[in-house]
Amino acid sequence: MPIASLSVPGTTAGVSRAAAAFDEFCRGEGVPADARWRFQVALDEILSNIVRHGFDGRDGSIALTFAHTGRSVSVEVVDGAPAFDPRQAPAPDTTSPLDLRRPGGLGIKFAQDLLDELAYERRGDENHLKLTWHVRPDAAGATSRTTDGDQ
Amino acid sequence: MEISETREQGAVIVSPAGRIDSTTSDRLEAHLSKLVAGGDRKVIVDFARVEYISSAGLRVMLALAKKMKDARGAVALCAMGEPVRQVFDLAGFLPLFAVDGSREAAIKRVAGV
Repeated sequence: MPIASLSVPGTTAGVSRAAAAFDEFCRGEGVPADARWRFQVALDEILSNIVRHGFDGRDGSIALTFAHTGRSVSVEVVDGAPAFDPRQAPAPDTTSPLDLRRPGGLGIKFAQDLLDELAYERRGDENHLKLTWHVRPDAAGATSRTTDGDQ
Repeated sequence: MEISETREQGAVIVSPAGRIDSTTSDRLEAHLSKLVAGGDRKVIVDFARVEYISSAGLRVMLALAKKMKDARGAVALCAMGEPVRQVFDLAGFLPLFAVDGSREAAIKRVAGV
């Protein structure tokens, strides 16, 4: 099973580096294009949340593990920020009219709705989050490896 | 993300290319704010070359819509690919915007305002 691991600083630059590394993993391992954008959105939300609210200006790093089994794609995110279970976050406002609409909380909803599984565990002083998406049979042919031209 | 800009029939068309996420959305926000501050009141954002958008990008779109409403201007979004459309949909943002399939339709819409 192809796996890639890396650690990035808990900063905006680190979030950007994680996105580039995930793209590279997807290209190299033929991850379906559908999985790729779903994870890129979810990772941007999860990682920028950790940087902004978890570390909140303090030094820290985020460890990432990408895996692709052919049937599923998963990303594990480990950070040493204070405990935060994204599954417990309040639901965002998705119905108010324009004047009253506040965009907060959408990110975690995206991660939950765009992917199939979001598992959380607090282990010692670390947050462990695992995001999983099951490859759809109809998406099997549309791999990133064959659509490199869409960069 | 790169941003290009053209003008047609009194509307300014902003075309970001690439990803609109937490690391790039500030640039788009600065670009759009400058247009509104400069007096543009017909703004189209063309998503044809956008790979995906995250909530950081949606904040920028929401801010644009609010500013333009206050300024009695018109905003239209067009040419969303599936990843972009799906994120707007999940956020419940589609009813907040005029969304057109093509750039031509968006121009027609805002030119008539």
